[in-house]
Amino acid sequence: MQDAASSPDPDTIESKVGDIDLMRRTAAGDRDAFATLYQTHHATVYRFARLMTGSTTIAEDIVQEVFLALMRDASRYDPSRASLTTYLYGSARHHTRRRLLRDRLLVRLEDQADLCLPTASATAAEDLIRERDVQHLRRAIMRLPARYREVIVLCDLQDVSYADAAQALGCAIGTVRSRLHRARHLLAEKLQRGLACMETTRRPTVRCEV
Amino acid sequence: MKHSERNQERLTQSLQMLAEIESASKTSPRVETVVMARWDADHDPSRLTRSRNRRVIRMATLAAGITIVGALVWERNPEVRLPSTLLRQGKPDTTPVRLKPDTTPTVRLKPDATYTTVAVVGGPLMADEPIRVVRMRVARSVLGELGIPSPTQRGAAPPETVDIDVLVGEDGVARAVRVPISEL
Repeated sequence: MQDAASSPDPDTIESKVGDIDLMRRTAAGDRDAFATLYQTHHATVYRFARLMTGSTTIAEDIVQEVFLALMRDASRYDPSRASLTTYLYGSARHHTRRRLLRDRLLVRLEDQADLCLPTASATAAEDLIRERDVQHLRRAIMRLPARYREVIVLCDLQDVSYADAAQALGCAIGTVRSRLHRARHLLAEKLQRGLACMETTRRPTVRCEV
Repeated sequence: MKHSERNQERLTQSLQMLAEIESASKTSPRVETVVMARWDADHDPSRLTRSRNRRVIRMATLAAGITIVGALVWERNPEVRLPSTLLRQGKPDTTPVRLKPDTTPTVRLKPDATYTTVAVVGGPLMADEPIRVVRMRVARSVLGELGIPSPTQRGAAPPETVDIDVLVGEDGVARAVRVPISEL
């Protein structure tokens, strides 16, 4: 939930320089450099893919594909165009979209469940309520169109700046802003609808007569 | 607070909560193992050598193929178009070049040269058969073997070689040999 107009962070600059050096060494065939790149960035790619697909297995496949592509095309990376993180987001987005397109005819078992969750969890402890809300939010995000889901995942959940998100998505910053606004609106609607649905399905309390 | 504002606030809190939860998620070690195994496989020196050998064989095969095709084309049609880069630097030249046998002045005969009687050396010479003339420089002693009188028999001091024309038929077989009188 931040804006793109932030001053450059020295740590970020250092890490970018480090990434450039690691990429150069990876292109030259340095195994340790590639391993360091993987250790540094795999979690970012994984989280993006997991939030985009809603599946741990598919997200791991995408991480694998992204880093294999990075291994092949390390020499093609141009640091003047984008940071490595943005480049990886772009690559992850490409692989995610391709995967979603390929699997569009398949229906995952998790998707069979309705937005309405069992009312039992609503009366459980606070952590259960929290968990229920998160699950609810995950499902609502998964029901967003891909172009809105991307901006929510990048800007709201991954804390990527608007400028970097625009680079990763290949669009203008203004487009990112407008999509994000629309995505939040849609998400709030879906959450509200889900809660309303939950209220209607709550079973009435019945007093037992002894 | 308006209803929509309350919804947005709730959404913001939920998103922050989800972001916190997600920040702890990581891939299983299996993925790293697979990726690094793939790196090792792709950067295996023996594999690189095999790949390089395959590339060399492929290039050699390609070069041999081009040579064979070129030779066949040349054999069928000696009028070929040479690459412009071979002809001159700069502006490409696309005019066809007719490749000829040796045309150095020492071999060229005068247009009005008169010839000896044609000596048949190969198959029969048909009336309408198209023939090609191949100019050759041979030892003077060859004339004797063909039954053509040599100047040495007339006491002159001729050069040791003589330029003759071999008449070749379409099938590539020599039909006859002729010698300019000036060479005798």
